[in-house]
Amino acid sequence: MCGGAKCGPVRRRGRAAALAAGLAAGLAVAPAAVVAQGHELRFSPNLYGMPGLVDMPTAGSFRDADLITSFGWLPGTSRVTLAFQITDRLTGSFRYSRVERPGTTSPVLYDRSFDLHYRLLDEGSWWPSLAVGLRDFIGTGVYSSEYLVATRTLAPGLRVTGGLGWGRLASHGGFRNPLGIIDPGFETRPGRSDEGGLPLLEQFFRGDAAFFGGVEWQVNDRLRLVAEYSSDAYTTETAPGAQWDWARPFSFGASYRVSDSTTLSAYAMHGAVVALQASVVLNPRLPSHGGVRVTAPQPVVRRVAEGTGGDWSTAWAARPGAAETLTDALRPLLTAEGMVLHGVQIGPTQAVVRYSNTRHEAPARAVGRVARAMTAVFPPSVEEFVLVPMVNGVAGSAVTIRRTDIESYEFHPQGTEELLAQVHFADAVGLPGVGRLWEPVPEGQRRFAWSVSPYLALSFFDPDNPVRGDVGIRADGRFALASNLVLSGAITQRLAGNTRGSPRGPGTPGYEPVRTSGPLYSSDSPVVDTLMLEHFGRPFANTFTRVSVGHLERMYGGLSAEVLWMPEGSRLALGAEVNHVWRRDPDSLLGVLDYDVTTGHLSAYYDFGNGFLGQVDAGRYLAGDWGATVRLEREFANGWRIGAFATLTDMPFEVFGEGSFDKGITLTIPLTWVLGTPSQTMNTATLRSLTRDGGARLDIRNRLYPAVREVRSGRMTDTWGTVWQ
Amino acid sequence: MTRNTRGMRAVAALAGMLALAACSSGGQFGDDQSVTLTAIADRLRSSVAQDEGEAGVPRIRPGQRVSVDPSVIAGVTTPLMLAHVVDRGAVASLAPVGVNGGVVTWQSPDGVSLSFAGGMMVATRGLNGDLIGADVIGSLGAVRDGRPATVTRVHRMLDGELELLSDRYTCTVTVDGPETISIAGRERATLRMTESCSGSDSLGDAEFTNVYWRDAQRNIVWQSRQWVGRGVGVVNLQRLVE
Repeated sequence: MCGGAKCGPVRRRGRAAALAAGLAAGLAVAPAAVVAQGHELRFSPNLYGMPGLVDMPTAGSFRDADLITSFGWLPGTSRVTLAFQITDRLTGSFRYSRVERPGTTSPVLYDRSFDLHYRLLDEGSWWPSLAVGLRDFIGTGVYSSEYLVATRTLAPGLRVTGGLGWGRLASHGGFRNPLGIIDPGFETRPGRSDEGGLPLLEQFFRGDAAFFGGVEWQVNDRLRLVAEYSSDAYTTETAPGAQWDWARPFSFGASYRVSDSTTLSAYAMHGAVVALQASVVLNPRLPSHGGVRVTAPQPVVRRVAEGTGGDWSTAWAARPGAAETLTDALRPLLTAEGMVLHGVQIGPTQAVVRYSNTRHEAPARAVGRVARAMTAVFPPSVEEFVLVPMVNGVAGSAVTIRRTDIESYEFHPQGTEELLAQVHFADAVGLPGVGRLWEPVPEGQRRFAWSVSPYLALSFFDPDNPVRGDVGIRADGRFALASNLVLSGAITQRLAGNTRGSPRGPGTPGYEPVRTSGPLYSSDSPVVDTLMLEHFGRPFANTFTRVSVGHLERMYGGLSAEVLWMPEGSRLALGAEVNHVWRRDPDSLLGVLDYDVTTGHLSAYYDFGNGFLGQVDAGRYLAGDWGATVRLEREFANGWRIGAFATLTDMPFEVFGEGSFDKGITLTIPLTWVLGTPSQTMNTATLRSLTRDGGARLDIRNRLYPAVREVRSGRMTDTWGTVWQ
Repeated sequence: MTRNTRGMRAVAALAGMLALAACSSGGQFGDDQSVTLTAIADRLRSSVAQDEGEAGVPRIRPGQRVSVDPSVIAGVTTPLMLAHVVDRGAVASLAPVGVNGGVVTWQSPDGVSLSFAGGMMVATRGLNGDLIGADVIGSLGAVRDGRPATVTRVHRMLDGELELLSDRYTCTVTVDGPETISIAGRERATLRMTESCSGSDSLGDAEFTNVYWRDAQRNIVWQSRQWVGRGVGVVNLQRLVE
């Protein structure tokens, strides 16, 4: 349900709820374009969701960028794994497991674990493919193991695998570690800390080793059979009192590919139990719906050549009101394209058009459509088009395009590449109308917009409950004092859910419960989620600013200021943010408690190319701890992003509590990919290993870097294929 | 009336300092064209549709032939084209909205446009799996001249990461001979030509056949069957009103 003409003027990010819906929809519309690979043997997920047999790994990889969700179950154990083919050779995964361990202090363990798997060598004329892997390398250690594995194709559709495992993968048939030849220290495997969560380098490849192996047979396009000899004795799961007894090291299985995306498997394991598995693959590189359906653009209006009837004189420019007339003519053409015209500065031969794009997820498509609209309106003497995309009322890059090129390349077979070769990108500061402290609300734009919508707020994987969530209704309001000065707020009313309650865990000794107190903030009364005033500025070349004042998030209110320096065309950007915030009173609408803290970070952002983005934030966190967050993401031109982060601070690991430090993965799915029509909505979910008080940042919206990137030349060239779409 | 002349008229109007806004009211069509196309769509629906799809878009069963009753175009004097996206069972009427360097763009009321160079499709917009651009210069020359040829054709398609691919096909153009066809009750003397293409793209091997019924005398394609790409498939086209 929406109110006002502009229902979604704010880019909405960061709602786990929307993500869940998006994921569900995404699964339903999984790419139709996944190519049938014939009898070629694809590497399939094992019960750990990684390339393998039943429980054992193989020396393969998934297709590049495959994102595979696997649900595995056997009596006493459930595993949900999200695996991602990070590069052609590197596979990573995040797993949440429920493990029954009879006879231990915690007979039911909810465990989070991370794996890495790297294909070292591809199969050749006589040698096998070779891979190395770390399983559960920063979890609590229930699955902790390492392996070296080789796989060889014997005949089309038939592959054999053999490997050497350490740790849990040497719990059956273990023998003295052959690495002991190098150093006798390899022969003993040290124990792990109670808190877990640390990569124990001194544990890797230590202790006993054992052989494992198996065979895979791809019977036809859909059916695959596997048999394995396992070096995993399931010691803790089959302790006295367990549901089953381990009988022998052999397991067998069959997988059936139900659709291009979904595979169902059943396994007979260790002569004792039956295991079941479902896996679903998505690939961000593949289009959903066969591509994005975008309403046809205004075609290019080619000028009549001078001397053959065209009037190319510049006399029009001297007439009073010419600029206003042209602006009024352009505005509806941009409105029809879901864009807002902020201003036109026009001279006899040049036009500067400032616009914001509220529809197209690909910035280059917006550029192409604005440029075509300009050809329909401006007099023939205007040859130089300067397009200035804006976000939050401030300008990004300036794109200069010759009108002649727009006319020439609309239907040229190489028109996309030729146009890019002619286009000039620059910083917009210095152009007329750019950099104003007060950017007026464009004519025809409503100052006030509101919406009411249901919400679903989910949190995952706390130690006692895999999923917690609230559902309710949410009212958003937004009043634009200027395009770059906005008052906004949101009120939520929770209707049902299980997030409310006492603080999560025991808190953090010596530190304010800055995040573990989260459950206190779930209320049965209406809650002011946010209420703030934001200003965005563009004071100097390549420089962007943000100031936010008010209740910035559900748990904190105060002042936040940020500056970003992002040189045009550079891979590197630098930023600084400083906040002074008070912890809000969970029992009052707008009141605060007496905990206040100054936090802030210096940030470096780097675009490595090939879609890989890195970010380092160093500074002070909400609990007053000092440290740094490292983040690495793979971004796809269509808006998908998959990444991981880790935060290390001066809070001691044993004080931090379970997990030792903050880490997790983030997943961003563009709504365009789900719907097949243009949308700027991005659904982002953060899956943390555990929400604790160390390394916690202010959850403020509209941080500069992600928004500014969308109006800089990098994202335009990344999406340039859409310029004529 | 094409968008081109409308645009030029708009510029002329500015020179006289007349109100420009009235001429560029934001739509792709002038009101007259829009009304005509909507009326045509209504008549098409009652004429060919088996069941109704989205508003204004008649749907027919895949594989069914579309033949337009003369009453559908009675009184229509502006150029009109019928497009039938076979695999999707969608039929639309299109009117010209732009001309650029010999390429004419036709658009339907529901926001799909098809662009043609000499009757040969070089771009589509508004479909999932659009043809972003095409190099059809070889095929175009053969069909225009009514001569057999072996040519190369390139389709530019977007992949899932918004990269523009070049799908290359080798095509054999053959002259099938004269054929008189009937379009909306009017007989047209044509030369039928067939273009058989094969090649491989990122998803594997592809083969398709385009058929053109060009006017026996003039350089106009009255009817054609053209393959757009894997996503859209085949589009059948008829020039209902010249």
